[in-house]
Amino acid sequence: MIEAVDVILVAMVLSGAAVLVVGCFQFILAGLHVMRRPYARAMELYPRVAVIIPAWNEGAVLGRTIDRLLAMHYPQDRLRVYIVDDGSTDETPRVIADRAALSPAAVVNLRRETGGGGKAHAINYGLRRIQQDDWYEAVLIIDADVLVSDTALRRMARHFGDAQVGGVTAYIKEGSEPANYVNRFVSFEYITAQAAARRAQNTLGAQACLAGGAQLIRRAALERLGGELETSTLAEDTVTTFRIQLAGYDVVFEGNAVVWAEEPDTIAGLWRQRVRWARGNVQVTRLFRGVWLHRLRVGPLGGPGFAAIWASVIFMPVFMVASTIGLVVLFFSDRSLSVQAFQWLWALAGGTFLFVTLCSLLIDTEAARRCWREGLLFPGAINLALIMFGLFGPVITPLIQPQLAAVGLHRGQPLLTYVLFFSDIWLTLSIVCAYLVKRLEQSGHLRALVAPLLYVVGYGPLLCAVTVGGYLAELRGADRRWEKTDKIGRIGELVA
Amino acid sequence: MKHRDTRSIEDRLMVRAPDDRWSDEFRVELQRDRRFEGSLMRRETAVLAIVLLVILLRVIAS
Repeated sequence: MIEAVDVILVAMVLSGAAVLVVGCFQFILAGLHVMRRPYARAMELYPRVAVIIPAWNEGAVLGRTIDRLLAMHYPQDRLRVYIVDDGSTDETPRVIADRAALSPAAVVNLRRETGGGGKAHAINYGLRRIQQDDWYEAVLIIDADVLVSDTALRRMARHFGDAQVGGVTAYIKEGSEPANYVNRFVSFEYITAQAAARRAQNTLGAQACLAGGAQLIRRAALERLGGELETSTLAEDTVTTFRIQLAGYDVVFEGNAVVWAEEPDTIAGLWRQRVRWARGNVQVTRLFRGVWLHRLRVGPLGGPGFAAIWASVIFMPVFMVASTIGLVVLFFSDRSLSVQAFQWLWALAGGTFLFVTLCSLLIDTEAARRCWREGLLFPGAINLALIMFGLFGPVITPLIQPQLAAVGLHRGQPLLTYVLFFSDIWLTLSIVCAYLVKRLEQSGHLRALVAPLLYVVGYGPLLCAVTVGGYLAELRGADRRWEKTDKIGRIGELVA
Repeated sequence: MKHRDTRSIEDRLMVRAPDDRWSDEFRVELQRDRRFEGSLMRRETAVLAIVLLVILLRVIAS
């Protein structure tokens, strides 16, 4: 009986590395992407594309977005840009009017006087408009701040050579220039969460999300969904992605079609955006509860691999808290087993961290050049030290033991016991500390300390704290209005 | 009266006939992207080898 309890506690401890292990699984799948022959059915196609840009007070960024779209390497007579001005009160109407005057055949102004109803409603307004005639064959939905690279659309469109493909999503990269520490953390996150994770999902044959910032949808697929996006959740893009796949189409990620987005440059701004995403994920989990682990009925979307990836995101804080509980219980019940479980946890985390981080830096070397430090410190300096201990502890310990003994620190000394206990609880404590760093930033005090503290505590724990924030907001039944991220036009001259 | 295109969506997506040659630009781009996807596998295999070596050394050391 006692052994069974120990096994459960050790399993709880090791669950702390679940996210990294699933990350490792995703990177292996991403490496196998080529085996799926992603371009086997690609064809040179230039469907007539209606671009829909929902815009609510986007005057600072919208003009450049339209200019980039019109400058793409794509037949101009096969591209129309519909901007849904959702009742903007800034200079957005003037920016649209200027562009429409310059390119009357390509730029269409769809003004809603009573706007501000949310992104999905604005997109649906545009979708209803473009479906009034037969012109469009595919719709590209992009955010008002997204800058497309020259070849992004044609690289996405070639996948429609396969009649089974209903939607294609591009690789969104963080493009702020100059990029501060938050931007650089997001840059690295996008390598793992998009360049790698979405290739992995291609390999599995199921995509979690057509990125809201740049998604190309075939007309037939959109019509199967009733021609509109779902508006009852905060994750209309994820819901659309699931529904397209459940309608029998494939959704693919095109990692070589690059678009650039301006992401928040403050922790508070990031928090608002990510709590919305986290809440959306909780809503999607509930909405599609009949999908999970039902591969025979729904195909790859219901496969165990996809479920593991989804669960690693949704239950990330649960795993970390469970790991801490396991370590703390073992700390008081069986100190020796506690130390062993601790070493196994961090050895496992160390191996997977090394693999995931090095692979990330090699998948997108251009982005890696500006965010490699944030990649290394993604888990935070303290977690990184624990990872290094997990990896190299058995080598280092015999070397430093004599030095520790020389200053009176023997095994069992109170100070070492405290350090051990602190290390045991850090996995969960780091989530709390990440939240406190966010609060510190919001307070406006000690501003110089915010960035160094985030490097110490870690961006990973911050994402965990955001997920908890999303849970709590959902439990509270917080307002589901769409909180817009402020964009000021910081994307540099990165577009290729 | 508005002309209604009666071809299927799949047919309408085809700008070129199926037996048309692709443009050089398209083929070069496709080739480049295929090569990149292939290179990912090699890069990850190299990283995996390094990580396994580190783990092996750790096991030996412990």
